[in-house]
Amino acid sequence: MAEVRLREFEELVLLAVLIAGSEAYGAALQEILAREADREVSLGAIYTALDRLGRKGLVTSEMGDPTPVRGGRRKREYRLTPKGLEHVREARRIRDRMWGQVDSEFLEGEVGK
Amino acid sequence: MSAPPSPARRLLRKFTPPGDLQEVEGDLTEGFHRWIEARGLPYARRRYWREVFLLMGWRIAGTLRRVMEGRENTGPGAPPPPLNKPESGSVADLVNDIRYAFRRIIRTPVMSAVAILLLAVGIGGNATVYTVFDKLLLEPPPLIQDPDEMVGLDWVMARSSGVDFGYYDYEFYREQGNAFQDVLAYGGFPGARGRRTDDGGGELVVGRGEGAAQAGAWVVSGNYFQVLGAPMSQGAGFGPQVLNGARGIPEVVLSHGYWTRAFGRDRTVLDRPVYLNGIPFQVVGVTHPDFRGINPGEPVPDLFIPILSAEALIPDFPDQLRRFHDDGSPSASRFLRLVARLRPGLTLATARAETEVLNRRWAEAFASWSQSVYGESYSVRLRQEFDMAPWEVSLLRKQLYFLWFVVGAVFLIGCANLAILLLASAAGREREMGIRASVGAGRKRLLIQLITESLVLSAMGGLVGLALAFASSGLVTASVSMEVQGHFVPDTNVIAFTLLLSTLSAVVFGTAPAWSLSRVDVATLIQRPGQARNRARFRGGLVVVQTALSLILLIGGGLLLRSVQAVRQVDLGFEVENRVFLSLLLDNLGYSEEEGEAFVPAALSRLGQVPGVRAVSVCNRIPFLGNNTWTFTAPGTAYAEEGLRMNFNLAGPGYFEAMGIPLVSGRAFSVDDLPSGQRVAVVNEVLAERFWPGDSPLGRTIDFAEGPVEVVGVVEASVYNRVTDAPRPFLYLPSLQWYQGRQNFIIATESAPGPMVPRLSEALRELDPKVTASALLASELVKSQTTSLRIWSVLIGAFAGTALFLALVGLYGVQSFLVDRRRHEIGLRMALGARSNEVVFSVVRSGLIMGGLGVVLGISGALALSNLLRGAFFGVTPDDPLVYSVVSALLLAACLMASLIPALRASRVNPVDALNTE
Repeated sequence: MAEVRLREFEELVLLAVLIAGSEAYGAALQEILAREADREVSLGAIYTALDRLGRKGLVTSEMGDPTPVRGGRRKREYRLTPKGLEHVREARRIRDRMWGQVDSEFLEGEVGK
Repeated sequence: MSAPPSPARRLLRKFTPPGDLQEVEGDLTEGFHRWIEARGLPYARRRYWREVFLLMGWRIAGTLRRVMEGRENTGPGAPPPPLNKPESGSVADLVNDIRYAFRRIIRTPVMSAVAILLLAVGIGGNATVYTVFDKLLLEPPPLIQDPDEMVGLDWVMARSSGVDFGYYDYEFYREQGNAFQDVLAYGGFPGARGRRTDDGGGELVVGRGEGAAQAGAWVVSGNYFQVLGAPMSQGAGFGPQVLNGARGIPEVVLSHGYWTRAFGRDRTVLDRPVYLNGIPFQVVGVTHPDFRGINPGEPVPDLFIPILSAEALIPDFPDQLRRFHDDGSPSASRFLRLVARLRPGLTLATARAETEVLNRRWAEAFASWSQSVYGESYSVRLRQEFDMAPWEVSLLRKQLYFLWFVVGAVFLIGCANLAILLLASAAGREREMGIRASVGAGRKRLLIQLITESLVLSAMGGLVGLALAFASSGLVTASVSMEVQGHFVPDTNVIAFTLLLSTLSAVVFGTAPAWSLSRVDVATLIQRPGQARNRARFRGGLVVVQTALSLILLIGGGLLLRSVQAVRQVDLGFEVENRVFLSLLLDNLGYSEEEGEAFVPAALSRLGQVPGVRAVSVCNRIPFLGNNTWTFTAPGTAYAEEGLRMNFNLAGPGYFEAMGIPLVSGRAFSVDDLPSGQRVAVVNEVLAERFWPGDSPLGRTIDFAEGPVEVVGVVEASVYNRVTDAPRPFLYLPSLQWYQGRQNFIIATESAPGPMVPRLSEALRELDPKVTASALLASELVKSQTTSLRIWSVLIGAFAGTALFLALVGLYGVQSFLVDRRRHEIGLRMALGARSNEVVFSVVRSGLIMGGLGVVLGISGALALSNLLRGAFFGVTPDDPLVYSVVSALLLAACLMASLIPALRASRVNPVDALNTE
């Protein structure tokens, strides 16, 4: 697998695309990031991240159908490429492996004590 | 359901590629609705704006990055990574860098001087315009304490609203307004018998006998200065009697400007009485020199007279202050504006709620009064008094935006020029950079050093620019004060703004060369300087942009020049040569109506006897200086019911002759048009056509509040309020039938009227020694009408000229640089038999291509902008083809000249030398 390095934010966006499934477009991703990652980010930042991910070959997109809540405008729907999926899985594997070695007591304890 | 703010959407559309628009707008719209649900409409609106701005920011940053990355990939192979040495102490480095920057500035004096000058012009111009903006639009007027607490009062009725209140209203709101700490009132000086002077402040005669002169006055509530918190520069201000609303010795406060003008800053003026209309007043204070009143768009009066002291000047004034006259009839005299100071900590919303209570109480108390005066009750609405831009400055604001665009463009052109200049010198520094890099300076280190150099340059440019801004503050004050009072000297805000601009310019002009230099490939540079990277394209782009910007400015200047020309050629409809006005305020001289009616004919005949006088007459209003307005109806026409609201003037016998207004049909006013006779009127052609289209107006009736009048004559239309107005309906009534205290004698003379003024004034004093008249040349009137336009066109013209010069310097620089670069190639070509005129042609052609591209870009830019400026020009459309073509041709010719010199130099290249230099 080709070495692809992602910033933390790009990683989050990638996951958000995965969570959104068939409904992965700008506004939805913005809401997911706000809800799940507790981050109020601008659409500009999301588009930029998606653009980068696209150029790294991790996501692809196509125009979807118009909906009334968007004033009849079409949305661009994003989804992971096989390479993107592979990247997410690999990242998950690495993290799981490392988390597995962290002392579980540390996880239970209060932060900062 | 609410829609997203449309300006933001327009902005978005401008900055988003069409392919992405559906996605972006859709996402934003969807988000907008979600934000409304989650946090409410105001949040959603703010959020929408923020999203749009961030989107634009991301997009611009993305473009810039791609440009940089694109440049990085050009050239054969990627440059080897520079030697990364650990950075040493940064403070010491900074000091070193600055020292080095200064050394370079001294070593290249000409280039540095040019750079600093370029920056100074750009930064200075911007600082100057920002000063005016700041003072006029961003800051509340000076010397008002806690301006946020001040609220203005508007009255509101079913179909109208306004700001003028009666004194009786003032008393009510001051006593009953629980939300207010206190309320102040101010207004133009009301004339005798309730007549309002609607030109700002009324005039009073100050002094007695020879030295007497007229001065403008306001009436203010006794607590006016106290509520504003405005200090006096001399004296203590209104005394306790006035402050408490009690009557006492009449008091007056002088404005600092008037104190300077009329009394030469004589401090003893506080110790003796000053006579206003012959009545002694005690001067109790002089305002602070910076005091500009409440409304920045309004001139400050000479005199501030407490409302209750004004009773001494106007016989029936007490009657005007009451809601009901002595005979029980309702009074409707309203001449005051009310401004309140809210109780500390009270929000506008709370104060508005409390005002509702006040409105109900008012309606109950004065139901009968308001019914009989207006047929309905009015309520009061509060508005933030110092909330940005009162209506008076809105026109000026447009002009200021225009000017700011202009100086902003000059600034950008200057920066672009510097970038070109630095890029050119960067070519000469590649070897130096290569050496520095090879002895261990990291890329970051080099970058920091280069940017430090830019910053030092721009800081010096900023300093000189600030000095320019201070130096030009007098000129700016003079040109802007035509319309607005105020002193425009840069302050700390402006200095901060200048600092920001300097930094910005360093980033704009310094980054590109620094970036390209700091990325040099060490080996290449030391061995073969000048071939590392081809920046010609980039520089050519800068020249195109410069040319385009300066073309836009030149077009703006050209359009303004055409406007000035058009204003000069306007047919006023009356003559201004050899004509002078003498203004008299008979009320203020103590004349009763009977005395005045006797004085006017006597004065007319006496003035007519002065040698050199061709014709003499009298009128109530001088063109361009205030107007009378009333609604007139015409029975049997479309205007029988609603009537037509229009300007009118009272004119004496011989008026049209003296003014040079041609009579079209019927007769003019005569000495026999007296109150006892048939009431008559003269209309202008525009009014005749409006009331009785296609019919003769002679013998027809016009009706107004004072009764019917018969039309006896028609005159040609003339301009009245502004030179730039289209001809409007206008009505003349005989001044002998309708007496007014304001009498303006118009005197047509055989030669220049200026030297005759003393003789004319003397003639009036022979009739009555206490008469003081102020004289005004009619030609001055017109000149003052075009002054501001002239100043604007000179300003814009100067900036446009600077811009053109800078753009040409840029073009010349690039061409010279290119010619030097191509020496080898040119030499080779000439060695192979190219003739020198072919060489000249090829260089000139590239200059003309750059110029031509700039012209095309500039024209489209000017066309896009011109629609915004439709109101700023007069007598010329903003897309005037003449201006566009002349200016474009001029610019192309200048480009030709700028290219010719380097081209000729190229043609003199000696093939042998050129080939040997390699």
